[in-house]
Amino acid sequence: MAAFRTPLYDWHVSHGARMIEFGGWEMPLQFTGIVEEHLAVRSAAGLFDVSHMGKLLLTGSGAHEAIARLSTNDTPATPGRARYTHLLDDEGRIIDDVIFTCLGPDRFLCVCNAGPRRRLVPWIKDHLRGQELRDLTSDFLCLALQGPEAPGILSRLTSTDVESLKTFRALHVRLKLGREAMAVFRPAEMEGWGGLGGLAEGPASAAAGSAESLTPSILVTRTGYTGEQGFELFPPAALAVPVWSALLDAGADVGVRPVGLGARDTLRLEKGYLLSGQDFTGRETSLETNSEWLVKWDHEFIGREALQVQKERGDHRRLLGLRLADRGVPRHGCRVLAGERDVGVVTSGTQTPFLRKSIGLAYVPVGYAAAGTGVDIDIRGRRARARIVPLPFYRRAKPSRPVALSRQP
Amino acid sequence: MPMYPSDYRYSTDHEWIGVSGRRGRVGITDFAQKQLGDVVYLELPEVGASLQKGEMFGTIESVKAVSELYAPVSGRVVEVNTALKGRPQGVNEDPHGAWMIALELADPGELKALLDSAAYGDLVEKS
Repeated sequence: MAAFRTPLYDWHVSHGARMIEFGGWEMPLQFTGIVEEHLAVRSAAGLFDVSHMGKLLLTGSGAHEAIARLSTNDTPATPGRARYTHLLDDEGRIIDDVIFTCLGPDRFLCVCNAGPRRRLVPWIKDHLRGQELRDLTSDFLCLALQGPEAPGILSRLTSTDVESLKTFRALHVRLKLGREAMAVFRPAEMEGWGGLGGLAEGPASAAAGSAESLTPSILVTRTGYTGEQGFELFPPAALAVPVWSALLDAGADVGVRPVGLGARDTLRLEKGYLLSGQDFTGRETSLETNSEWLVKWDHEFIGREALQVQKERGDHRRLLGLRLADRGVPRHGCRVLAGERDVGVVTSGTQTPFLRKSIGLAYVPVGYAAAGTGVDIDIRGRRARARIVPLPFYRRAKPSRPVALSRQP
Repeated sequence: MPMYPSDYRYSTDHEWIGVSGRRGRVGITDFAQKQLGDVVYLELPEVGASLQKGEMFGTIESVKAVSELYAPVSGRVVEVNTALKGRPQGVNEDPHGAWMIALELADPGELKALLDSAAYGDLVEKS
């Protein structure tokens, strides 16, 4: 089967991206280089096309109760709220990690990962009681604008106050794109449009421009996968190039740049975020991934009983951070050794561009889980000493300037 | 189109060797460093190691990938570029200057089996 392409595929290729297949999609791995792109996100801003992410719309009476039964975390019932959660099978094993955003009463967006989507859609449908699930993955993009400059850049394109949007909150904004960009926009092309509607729009002032240079309202969430401030935008596919280009133009003077999946991976790993399909692959529970903070025991959800049993036993392996003391780079699949014993496996590892340290995530038995525990990593037959360390590896510094001062009046 | 130095010989594994007398310095080509991306780590042999043509002599790692390094000809390692080990991004910055090891050639006749710069340029053109 041919890989899916995002509506920005031609843009990526014509701007020098090296493409790779990821989760059944042809996606940009890098534009200029992973290190350069990684550092741009930490110091200024990066724009990611992550349109391979699944976008599922769940609607209908009882929709909130339906997702609550599927979700380890509590789920938002207030429009404009989003929540990160795990979806488990009956054995407590993670099918996928997703974000639910409440768009309105009985109206939810589920953003899931590309690989698990094919399994997830029928699984969710099987558990619905009359609600409707529509897979809108190809109708909308997901663009992540991330970095300390992200709020300022997005503010330049809208009269809505996006800078004060709190983490895991959502709203709809109309972007000012200029007449030239909007000339390519034909509403008739936007099949499925309206799918992600529902939230109240921010106020559109007269100064925002005339109607023909404003987009229809676009869903924006204050979420990300980089450890920096930022947003994820969900414009309709027909607006792909105008919105993408407008974001790059709006941030050109502060150094925004397109960023590929390579830097997305190193950024998320520095922050200690897990990658679906790599750090968990359908066989690991939320307790094993060390994600009990996502488990709200006070409600019923699929997989709860199995998790409860595992928690009571308490002897499960755990996914933890490690840092190498010796030279070398741990990689996915490297074994974790304690003396002569093979005790675990590395699921993610790299030498990070910002921290310049060799770091990784690994499953280890409970007896090796304490921070500071020394283990060895078998890197292609050579032993490198490592220590278990707390996550995250990287935590962003508090903004050096008050946010209120940088907001446009 | 990058320029491949005409005084080097090239392996199909994308190593170059620049020979002077019986000694040759070995590195990887511009094509290879572009494929790898940002290099963060080099594992190189000790001085004195004896290598057969085609034998793995080390590994090179970028942020994203690991690749093995192969000896383009047989010989004994007489020098290792320890400065490059400490600053592996030099491979990206100047791939045809960033030598990794120097070999004392066991059989200079082996050089004939390697590609010249024009043939190597054709090879990577097709890749």
